[in-house]
Amino acid sequence: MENILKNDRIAAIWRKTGFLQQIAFPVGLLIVLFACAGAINPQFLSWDSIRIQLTLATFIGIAGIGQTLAILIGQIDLSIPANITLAAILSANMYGQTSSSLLAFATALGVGVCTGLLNFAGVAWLRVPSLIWTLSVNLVLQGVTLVYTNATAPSSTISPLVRWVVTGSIIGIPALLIFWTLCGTACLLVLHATAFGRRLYALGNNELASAMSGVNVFQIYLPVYLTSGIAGSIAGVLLSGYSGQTYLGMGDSYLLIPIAAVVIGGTSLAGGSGGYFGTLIGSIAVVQLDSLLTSLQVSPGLRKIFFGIIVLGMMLVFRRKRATV
Amino acid sequence: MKNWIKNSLYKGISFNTLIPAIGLALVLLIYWIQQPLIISDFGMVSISNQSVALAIAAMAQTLVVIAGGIDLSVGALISLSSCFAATYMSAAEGAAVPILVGTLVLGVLAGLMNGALVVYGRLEPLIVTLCTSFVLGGLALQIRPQPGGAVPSWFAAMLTGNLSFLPFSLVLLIASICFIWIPLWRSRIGRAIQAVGNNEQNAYISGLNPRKAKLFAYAVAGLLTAVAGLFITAQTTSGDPNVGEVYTLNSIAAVVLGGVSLRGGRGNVAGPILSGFLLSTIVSALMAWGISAFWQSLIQGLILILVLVGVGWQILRSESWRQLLQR
Amino acid sequence: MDKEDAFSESAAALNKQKVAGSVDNVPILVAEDLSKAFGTTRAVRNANIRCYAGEVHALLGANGAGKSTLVRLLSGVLQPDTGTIWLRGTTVQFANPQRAAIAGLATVFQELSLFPQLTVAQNILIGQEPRSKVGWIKEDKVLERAKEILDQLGVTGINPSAVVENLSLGQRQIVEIAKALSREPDILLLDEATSALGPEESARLFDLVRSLRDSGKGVIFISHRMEEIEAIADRMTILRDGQTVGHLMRNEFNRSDVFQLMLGPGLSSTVKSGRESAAKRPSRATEKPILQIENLSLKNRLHGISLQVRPGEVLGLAGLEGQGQIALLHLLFGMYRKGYSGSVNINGRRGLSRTPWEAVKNGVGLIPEDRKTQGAILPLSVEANLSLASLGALTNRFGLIQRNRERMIVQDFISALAVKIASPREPIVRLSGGNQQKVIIGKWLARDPSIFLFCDPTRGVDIGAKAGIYKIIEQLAVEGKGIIYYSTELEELVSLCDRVAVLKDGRIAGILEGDAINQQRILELSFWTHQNRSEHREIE
Repeated sequence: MENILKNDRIAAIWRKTGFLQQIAFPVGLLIVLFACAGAINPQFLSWDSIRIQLTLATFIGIAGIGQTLAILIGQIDLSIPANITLAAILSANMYGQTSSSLLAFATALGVGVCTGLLNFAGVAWLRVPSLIWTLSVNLVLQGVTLVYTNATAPSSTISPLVRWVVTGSIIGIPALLIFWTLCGTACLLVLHATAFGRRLYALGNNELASAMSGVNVFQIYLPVYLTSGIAGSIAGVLLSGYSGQTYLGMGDSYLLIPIAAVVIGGTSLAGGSGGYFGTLIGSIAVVQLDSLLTSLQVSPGLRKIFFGIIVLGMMLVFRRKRATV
Repeated sequence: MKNWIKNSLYKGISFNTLIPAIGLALVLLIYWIQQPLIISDFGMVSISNQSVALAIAAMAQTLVVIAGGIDLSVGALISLSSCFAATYMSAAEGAAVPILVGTLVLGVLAGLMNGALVVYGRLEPLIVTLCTSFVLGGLALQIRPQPGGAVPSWFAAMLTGNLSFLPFSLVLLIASICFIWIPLWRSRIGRAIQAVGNNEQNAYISGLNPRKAKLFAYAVAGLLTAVAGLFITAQTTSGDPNVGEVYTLNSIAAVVLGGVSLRGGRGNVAGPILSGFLLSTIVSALMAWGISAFWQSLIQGLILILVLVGVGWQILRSESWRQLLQR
Repeated sequence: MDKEDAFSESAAALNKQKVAGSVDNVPILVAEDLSKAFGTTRAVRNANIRCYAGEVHALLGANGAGKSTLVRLLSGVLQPDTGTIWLRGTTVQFANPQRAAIAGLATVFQELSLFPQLTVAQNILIGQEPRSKVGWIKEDKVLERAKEILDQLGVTGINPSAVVENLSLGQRQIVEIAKALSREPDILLLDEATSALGPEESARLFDLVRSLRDSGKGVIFISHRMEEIEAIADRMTILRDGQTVGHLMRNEFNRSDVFQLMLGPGLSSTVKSGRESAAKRPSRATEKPILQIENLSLKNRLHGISLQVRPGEVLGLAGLEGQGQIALLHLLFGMYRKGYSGSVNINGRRGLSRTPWEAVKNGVGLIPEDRKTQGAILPLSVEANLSLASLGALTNRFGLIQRNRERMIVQDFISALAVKIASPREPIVRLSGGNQQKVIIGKWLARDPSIFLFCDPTRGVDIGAKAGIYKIIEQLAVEGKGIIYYSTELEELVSLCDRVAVLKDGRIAGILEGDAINQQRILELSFWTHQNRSEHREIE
């Protein structure tokens, strides 16, 4: 009798804190970073400063939606950088030619969908390791961008709608944040409250057992990579709205940073555990870390070193011990 | 001695090596048609100097892949080697040679760092090398925030010069093969590396030491990467914290094109070396035909995709879902 | 229980007698009182075995008798909980198979440990290659030594420079043996060496075994094929329930005696009581089959299988392991993409499903043999595992999962199945094997397909959970489901099944119906060979 009671209590605690355990680190890191930043320069805690941080974090966060999904199923998406750049450039040029925000947006979506389909084909059907496949897709997209921009220079005509989304506000709240919140909520909902989300987690944990439990694995891979592609393109368009221009290589820093955000957020690279909430926090933490290091006038070199060490340290401490035979 | 050469060469010629070999021959042919000067001592040096860095980097990547891992820090280590060498080699009288050795040691240490994190930290090679690429890249930036530095002129000449038709860079490549790759490959540890990459459990049952094998693989890969970095330093006669960037993906591409399976355990360094040459020369060859450099990425990407599709097609033929779904 | 102990006591006495008789031959390997338990299951208890030089010693036992555990204890993969092993008179403890081989006992495991991309010679000498002073491997010496070993074994036709992945399975087996022998052991342990070999290759293997024996080595030989054992063994030890129950010399071999030893005493008395459960069921003979297969073949695994299952019927699949039972069930579940032929009619649909999820949609559920990698998703909760196959039914029109309904249904199943857990949110990995299995079955109960395929569901499951599973089967039969039940436990098959099909080498050796089902008959059919029925056998 006693045993059952004890187990009951432990189980209840486990149930309640499972989620909290997962986000403990990223939230803790965030608090520590904010505290340090504030201690160094109280300006950091001002709304203006935070707003900039959050804006930067949004781009990572949106791109991170796709990356989170891909990592949750045990894969990865390294085609985001070129996706961002190509979508931004094509979309801006389309706007420049037609002055239609709709067409511009559709173009960006088109890039995202094509990227997603290409990734899906290689990873799900050809079973090529997603690392090399998505990296190759990245190279191809880069190539397409180069060829295109050689004929047509990247434009700086950004749709005003996009500019507004990035810089405007609705009743005082930045439109960009609202956008991110909407996307994030949708992502969280799908992952945690739908059958699709359940099946996705199952697949990330054990593809074979999931398939043998009736999960059509292809019906999971496709939405994951499509979302990743579209999320990347949207991030690209938003980025162009932020900088007011498009240029080659604008997506380059988004290769490893979204992955870092995901990892810091507690999602395991092996798949099957974690979620978007962690990535959300992780995105903010990454931006915070970077600006903290910048404010400390830490040289770019040291900044990079710290970044690598912190993520590594995170992995070493929190690496998930998979429960297998 | 003759047997030894015969054995080593024989092992190198397999179907997988033929593809890049033919590809390279085709590329050189295309090049020559437009630019006959390519078959001259000047042309040979030009091709060799363009390709040797990637070829050696590909060797490093091949070793890690065969051991069952992957190394995303190749580019960063190349940048670091270049910054380190270019900054300190001309720092003092007679510093050149010790710094040269120091760079190589640095490479081994970086490799050991990767290996230790993979083996003892039990982390996946992907994320480990991703993070170490940040650390090494950051170190490069620390040492040399802007491109610059200098190397002794004898150093540059030694690696990029030539003697009639024999480019010194080619000599460097051959030396790397003979003094680094082959001794490792033909030792018990080299055998163990192949075994471990193929099936770690079987390796253990057969009495091998998987940990030692993996550590060795990463360490020697680091050494080779440092060699590539030194060559680039000689080539550019300066250090640049971003010079190595492209080499990461390109070395993986060379490995895949060279017929080495990313799953590990099997493969041979001849294919990747040839692919290194192929990938490096294809751009110049196409330029000779008036196809501008900006087609480079697209062509390289498409080649890579085609090869991957070819590899993946075979997997599509598997008989059961169990085989297909168990990655 | 008393009867059994008495029996094994007399067997042990028999044992000692025999051993005392052979004074001139001192055993090389003596294992006494070996025991090994996994959790609460005692896989091996007080097992004894003695091996002599120049003898082929066969190890025999039904499924689950403890053979494979004993092999792993002897070979150094596992360490015994109690008991001692003597090799050439000195006590030994092997930390791993390599140490064992160096000490003198080399094992050839069923799953080969070769590296496909290396050559035969390289595989044979891996880890002990002759080196030059500098440390380089001398490939020519490797080749030489490998040739030596192969010649010593009298093996022709295998080129030591050939790459292993180009060799046939039989050839690979021989290379694996050569690898084991490269350490020059005194005893060679062959674990099911012939299970994947055809008759020609088996014959060659036996020649090898005989020459090893003649050269003074001891060979321990584990096999399921009675005819092989009769052909080659000089001595036989029989295991049952993890204990040594019999020890026979060559001239004492007698198939029915051996079967008796393998099955245990008091057999005939259990026949009638065994059939109680199944006999109670209403006869379904007149109903239309829910599953019908005709001449179903799967490349290299199944040949010309014809079976049918009626609703409410439990069809048992029996036979020694690896005869195609699991392949058949997987095939019916859509796990194979190609390589099969034959006509199939499941639930009124013609043809096999091309994917497992299609099979689920078409009303088939599979409880796999490997619950840890195929049945349960270990890190997920019991709740998530239970509902995985029926998520479609739990979502409302917005696509969101109705958590309350899910919790209710999950709770219902947990109580119905008597799964002992504190909370449904517990990760399934924490449950005992038996409870895990119940959850996996529960997953299918929730989905409610019309056909249930069971792959040895009670393996490694405790008695209490077993009883629970039997109750479930009964309930499913009453509900009119079609059930195919593969088990390696004869008792179960006898008590649960309306009919039992025994498979051997991918073919049906025989189908037993109703009261004709008993353990003896099943076992006999399991060892059935073509020689019993003068038919021409295809050589694969």
